[in-house]
Amino acid sequence: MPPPHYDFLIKLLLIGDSGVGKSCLLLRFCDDAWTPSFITTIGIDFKIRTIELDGKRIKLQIWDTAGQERFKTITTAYYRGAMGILLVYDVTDERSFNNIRTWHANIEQHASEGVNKILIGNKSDWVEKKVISEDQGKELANELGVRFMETSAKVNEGVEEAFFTLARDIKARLIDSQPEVSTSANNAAQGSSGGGLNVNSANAQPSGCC
Amino acid sequence: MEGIFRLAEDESVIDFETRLTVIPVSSASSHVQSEFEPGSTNTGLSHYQDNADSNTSSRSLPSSSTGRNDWSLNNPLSLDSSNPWHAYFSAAETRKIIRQDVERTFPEIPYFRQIEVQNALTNILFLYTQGNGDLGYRQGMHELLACIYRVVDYDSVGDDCINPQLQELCASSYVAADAHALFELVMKYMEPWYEWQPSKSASSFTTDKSSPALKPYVAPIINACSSLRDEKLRSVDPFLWEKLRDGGVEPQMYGIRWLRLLFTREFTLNEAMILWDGLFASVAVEDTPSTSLTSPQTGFEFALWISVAMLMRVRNHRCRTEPRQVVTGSYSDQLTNLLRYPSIPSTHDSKSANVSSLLLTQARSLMTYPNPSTGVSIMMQNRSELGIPVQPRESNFPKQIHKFPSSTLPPKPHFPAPGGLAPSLFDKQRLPDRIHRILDGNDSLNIQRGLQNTLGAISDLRKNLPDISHALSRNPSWNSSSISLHNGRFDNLSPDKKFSNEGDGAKSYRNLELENTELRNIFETLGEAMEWALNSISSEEEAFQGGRDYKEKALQCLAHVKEILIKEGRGERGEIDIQRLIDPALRNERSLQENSLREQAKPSLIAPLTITSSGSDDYTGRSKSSRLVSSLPATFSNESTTIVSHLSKSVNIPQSDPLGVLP
Repeated sequence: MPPPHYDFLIKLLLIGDSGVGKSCLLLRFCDDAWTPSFITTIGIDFKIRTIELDGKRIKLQIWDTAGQERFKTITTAYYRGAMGILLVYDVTDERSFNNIRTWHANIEQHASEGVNKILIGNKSDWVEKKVISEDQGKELANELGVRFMETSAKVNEGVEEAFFTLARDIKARLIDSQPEVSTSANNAAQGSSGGGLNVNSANAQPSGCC
Repeated sequence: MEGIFRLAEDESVIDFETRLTVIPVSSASSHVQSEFEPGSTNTGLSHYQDNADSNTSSRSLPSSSTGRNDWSLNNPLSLDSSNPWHAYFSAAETRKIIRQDVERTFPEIPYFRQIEVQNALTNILFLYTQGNGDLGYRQGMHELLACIYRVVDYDSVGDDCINPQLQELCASSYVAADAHALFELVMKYMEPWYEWQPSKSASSFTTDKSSPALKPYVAPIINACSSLRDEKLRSVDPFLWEKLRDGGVEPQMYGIRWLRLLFTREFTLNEAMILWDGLFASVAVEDTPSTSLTSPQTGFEFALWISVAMLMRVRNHRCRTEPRQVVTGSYSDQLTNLLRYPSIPSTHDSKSANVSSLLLTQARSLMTYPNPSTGVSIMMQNRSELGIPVQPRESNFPKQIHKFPSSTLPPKPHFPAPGGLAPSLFDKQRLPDRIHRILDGNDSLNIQRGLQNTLGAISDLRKNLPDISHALSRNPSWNSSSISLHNGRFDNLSPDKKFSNEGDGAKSYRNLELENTELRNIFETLGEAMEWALNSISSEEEAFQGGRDYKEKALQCLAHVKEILIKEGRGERGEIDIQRLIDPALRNERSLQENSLREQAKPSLIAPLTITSSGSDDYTGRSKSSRLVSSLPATFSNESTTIVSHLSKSVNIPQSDPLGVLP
């Protein structure tokens, strides 16, 4: 098997109401593209992008969920092993903002403890329709104890920063805090079972499942 | 009084719902339901639209509301739970959600960008949700409806149609109504797969009759996905099942989309419509008058088998962009193949339209004969029709399967390439590897896995004949009789030695070899019995003499074969009752006949393959194949002819590559 093209694999999850632009954020981040009418996500989808942080190649496996699936029997499988979660609302849709609390409660219930989170207010370019101010977003983020960022997948504003910020937080939590983890196969195994981190050293095979 | 209410409502329309083009009537659930029951929908939709358009003048307020005359309750701002305005707002919200999905239905198809089409889809979906309170609108329904609507619209005729009957059936003015009626019908079968909470009605699909209250709720779609992989796929392709299970991709990851949308995202719309044809036909066949519509408990069971056939299709398929196959791939590779289902064109240009009908045929075979033999024949079919190799190209078997202590291994024989084959085509490594896997004591000796390994080994053996034949066939008397279980070959062994599930690695090489031989014998016996049964069913007059009711006996025989296979599949020992398999008088007659034929045949180490190919080369020949075809249900006999002709082609070439192992 060829050596992996990355040093770490990080699994991220996009959640939020239907139509807030989760798939569009993903399309922008992974393919640098945008479409005004993105097909409805059914079940789950995923995309991959490998980024470089502090000289380490980090493969981001980003899961895109259907906005309507917030129910236990279906979503537990999605949350499993997620290391970072992007909570997305639409700044032009008050309801999607109000539902963030429900989504957050869902995370608390199903995701692994200590998972990194970031609150995203998408469609920030749509100024004339905007109903949720940046301050409201910040306030909610403070209350939930998560980071906050406004983005626009359409004009490509803040998208890179959002994903990179989250990836950096995860790297700090799971990788940098474990000394020499990347040279020890044993630690890698522990990482994938305990914190859900899948670490691949230069000669270890990517075990895939995360 | 009424005037004031109307005024309040009108204001709310302006203030709160400016986005909606058609405002639902207040308390739509009571109003709409009473007037537009499913089934009377031909005129329902237009009435509804009329009402909706003129709602400010002709509508009355909810009649059953307790707070109707209490202004403090009955107003748009009241938070009281009995406020009838709640229903109004909730309906408005539903429409908004529906509209959002309708607007992004099949973004690449211009037809769905037309405002009239979008309005019709929204209206139909909204009407549907009002009649199905518990379920409401779930994402995915919009795409099912969109397909139906497009097909109905495509077939519709305008007012200028000269054929009055056609005009009656396909009038373009009734497209929305017809699509609504059809959608309601399809949803009767699809509803379980959209269910997301315990249904309040008693007729829930999820209710476990034994202990409904004790088990946590599991959505039926999750159960359907599990059954698709862990029961159905397992029964026909245990090797692939094992790989998928070990890969860790949960079946609902792909299953939810496949099933809820009925494959519209995995195939082109036209291909998907061919699949739908088959699916609807399967329901039409199954439904007796007593079960249809009122209790479609089976749902689209056939869709699960289509999914199984889809899994088998990507089993060894290699995309250009993603060279990893499902079978050999890691978690990410599997995920990519399953969530981005590859488009696999037919290898024959003339048959490019048949990719989905091939899938239907395969699903049908799998459903009718859910056993590994069918799985193997489908793999061969995929090879001939789609150019998908039967075996994974890279040998990527887990290392731990070589647990056989090296000291107990027989010396590895050297296998020179047989004369007819170029040495470059001959894989020396694979054969010993396979034999080890069969003989591996830690293997659970699950019969299905055994079959898979046996088949693989047999294919290797066939390539390597005759040199390998002495290396393995120390066991006696392969040629003695076709009904080998009852010739006392293993009577000197105690039952636990014959067939042990303990897998403690302590078995001797000989025991393992015997087990393997016995496994083949079982398959051979069952295969012959089935062959006999199929022949009896298909060609009564030419089969055998005597006035017996062969068909009944054949059915009994098949039932017994099924019992044995199920038992063996569960790891239990299934006792074969030969009396139930083949009529004793006929058995004698056939034994004589076969013995004489066998004497002319090659060393029959490869005999078990007759089970899988149904038309074997060593003593049955092509005529049996064609009889087998004639015994299959008419719906897929055409396709089956292709399968069997491919089968017989491949098995009739001496020392060729029957399972397509060679590149």
